[in-house]
Amino acid sequence: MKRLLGYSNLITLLILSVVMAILPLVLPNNYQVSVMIFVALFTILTIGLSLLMGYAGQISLGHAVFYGMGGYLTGILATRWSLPPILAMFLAAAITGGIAYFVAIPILRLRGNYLAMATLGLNVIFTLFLTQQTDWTGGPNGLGSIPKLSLGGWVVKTDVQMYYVAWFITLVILALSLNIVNSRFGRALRSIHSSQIAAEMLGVDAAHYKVAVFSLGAVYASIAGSLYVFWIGLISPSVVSINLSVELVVMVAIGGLASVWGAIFGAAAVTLLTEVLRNVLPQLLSGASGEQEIIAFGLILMIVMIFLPEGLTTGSLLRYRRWRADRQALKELGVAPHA
Amino acid sequence: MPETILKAESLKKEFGGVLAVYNVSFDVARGEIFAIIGPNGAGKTTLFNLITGVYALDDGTLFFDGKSLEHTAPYERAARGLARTFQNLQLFTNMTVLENVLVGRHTKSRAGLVGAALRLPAMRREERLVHEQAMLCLEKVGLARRANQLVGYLSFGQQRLVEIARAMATEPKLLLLDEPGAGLQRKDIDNLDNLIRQLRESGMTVVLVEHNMELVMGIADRVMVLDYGIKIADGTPLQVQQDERVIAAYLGAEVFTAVPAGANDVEAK
Repeated sequence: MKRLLGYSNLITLLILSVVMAILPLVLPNNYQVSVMIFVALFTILTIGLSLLMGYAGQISLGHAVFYGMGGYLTGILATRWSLPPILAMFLAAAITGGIAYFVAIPILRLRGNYLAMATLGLNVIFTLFLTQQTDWTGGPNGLGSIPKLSLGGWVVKTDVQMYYVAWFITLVILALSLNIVNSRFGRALRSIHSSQIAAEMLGVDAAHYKVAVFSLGAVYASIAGSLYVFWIGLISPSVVSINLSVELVVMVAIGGLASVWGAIFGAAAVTLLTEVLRNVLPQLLSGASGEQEIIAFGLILMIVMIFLPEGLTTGSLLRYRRWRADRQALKELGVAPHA
Repeated sequence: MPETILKAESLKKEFGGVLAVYNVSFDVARGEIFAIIGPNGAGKTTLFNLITGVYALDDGTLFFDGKSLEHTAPYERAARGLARTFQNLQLFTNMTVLENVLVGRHTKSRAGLVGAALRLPAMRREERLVHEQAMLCLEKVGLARRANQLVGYLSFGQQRLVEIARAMATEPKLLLLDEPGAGLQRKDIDNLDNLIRQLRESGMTVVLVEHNMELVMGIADRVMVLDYGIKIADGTPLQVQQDERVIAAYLGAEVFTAVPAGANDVEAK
């Protein structure tokens, strides 16, 4: 096992797996299980976006597009063409990855704000396309009666079953991504982030790596989209809204930009926070409802960004390392570190 | 006549009407240490950017290792054996010292996305190998001990060495050093001097832009002098030091008095 993953990552992953396996037995009701399924889906999305944003340093405000693309393609393939769900899922991921690849070639020539605008535009275009192209997508009403996920004869029916499937896939993607960032590929991504010119001088084909990681994130997103439609049974253009794309950027930022582990944390923190605020806020403020949670949510995001701009996980880790390095330096100088 | 590794013919680069490099031609022989000097703004770094492909040439041709560099992207030039360091350090500050050098092994390794994700045996073997090779480069510059520190924790002089180690890791045929001595202390300059000589002995060709005349005149086989983007002289260090146009460009001879007269006669052959 150790050969397949770094040692400390392996331990953390095992602990996480055990916790996630036990969790449904502890959670009091189905509602909480379904929230945790969303956490899994968002984690998959956030990992992909984190590879692009945190590692390669390229922003995308249109990541929801590939979530929707995966969902819609899976739905179309499974209903119209009656493909087995699992095959529909793989095919959708392949097609989405391919489309992302060709979209990325022109788009990723842009940098910074221009890239943000272009990806935002992509999201707008895709949402419009879904609404207008009624023949295939069902237009504003969306696409329904998508079959449940089935593996051989076993149909994933209940929320708890879906929970296990979703988290299994999430943990596999997490493990693969941890390996990717600790490799030649991951180092190339980080080098582009830090100094594209230096990276190219060392032989890193920056354009190629940006496009590759963009497509990889799209494949992840597509898988999350497939899981979503298998679980909910329908998908509509509202799922692919810009709001989701922005929320995903927030999850990446809160979790810590260059951190695969941070992705899971960011996804969980934002999702759970949204749920808590939705329940708590109306009790605190009479008349507060759905929309006002966004205000509280924005405030919390601001506080995190001001005090831990590297995100919660990366930020705390950096603080701790700096504190330890300072202590070490003081010790070497013979000064007693103050408590 | 030794073999030419880099041949530049009438290079020209213009920035909005300002001629940064104009009609510059030179040859670098395989295995030599070739220095480019000149006052600030003479076009030395621009010349490096033209050779490495950061800027496109407005006119002229470049031949490296017998082949034209036309339509060759910077990363392809790296794969063909061209490496450089930067005047303003361009280290990967989000990585450790070792990781910086590991990126230097990029062109000499293969592992792709699938191999990395699944940690296939071939990928793990390669990863072990590149780690060893990168450590070897760090040992050569004397930084093996700092391998796992973030590069930002190192002193300025050590950071310069990391850049050199990173460039060495690509196993270049030609190494371009852009002011490697800038901001270094006396002791570090001496180390740098030794390091560059070692690189040459290992078969590398070194092209060097440098302001420290003592270093340049002591180490270079040949020197080219630029002023306002134009080549005003080239030859052995001794020849260049006695060139009237060079002396005029530097506003007097005191720049060169750091080297005792005749010290370079031996190297000038």
